[in-house]
Amino acid sequence: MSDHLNFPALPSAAGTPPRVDIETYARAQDTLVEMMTPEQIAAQRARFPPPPRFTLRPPRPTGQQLTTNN
Amino acid sequence: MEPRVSDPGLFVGTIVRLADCLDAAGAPALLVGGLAVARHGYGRQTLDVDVLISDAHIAAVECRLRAAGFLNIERMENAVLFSAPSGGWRIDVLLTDSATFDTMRRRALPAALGGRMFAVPCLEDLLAMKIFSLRHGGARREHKDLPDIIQLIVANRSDLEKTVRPLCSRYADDAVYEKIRVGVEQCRTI
Repeated sequence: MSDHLNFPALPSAAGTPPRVDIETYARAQDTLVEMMTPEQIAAQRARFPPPPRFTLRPPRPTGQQLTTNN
Repeated sequence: MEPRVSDPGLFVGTIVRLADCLDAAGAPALLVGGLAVARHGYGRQTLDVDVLISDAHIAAVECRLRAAGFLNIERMENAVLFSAPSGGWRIDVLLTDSATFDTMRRRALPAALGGRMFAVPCLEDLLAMKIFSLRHGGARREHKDLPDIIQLIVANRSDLEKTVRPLCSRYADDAVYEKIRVGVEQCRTI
């Protein structure tokens, strides 16, 4: 799976999930950020605050299977 | 492309330095965010190194990162943010309870990076995090989490009914499932 950034996909057997070569992916991040100004980076970070605190225990009853161990 | 072993770059260098601090703190961690999404088949730009740890280890991790020169520490209810001493890359240390972390770690997959071994959540746990964030993270998160979810489902050929709907029922609601379903079906017709 390469998607729009064209990170090379690792070879995988038929039927196995696709993977991006994360070593190449990670090294490419420096180049991508170099194309941005500090102001653009700050603005993009501000648009996407960290995700909410996640727990495998659902936050509220949903009618689905619930965990009971705390 | 041959990896430049002698020049890991600032991003990978930041991750390796973070790994050293996590090891010194005795804190297991999971790579999440863009790196985990890439590990599961969808490559997109990221601006931060995101790791998930248990609450129990944050004090030791913060101590080690501070000693290593990480700056501008910003504490939030759900995360602690650090800036790398060399500038540029920010580390977002996301927090969860120990039971959640231990379960996710048992199911995690390996990922080699910068000559080190890391762990990333399994696909189902990563989708659960993203679906939870989509429902509870506010409107701004939608523009990051929804594309990630859709692309991960399409890339991995995940079954909407068997895999995604139960996760939405548990961590979000029917409206979130419908947004995802529509996006996935649009992508699959391209």
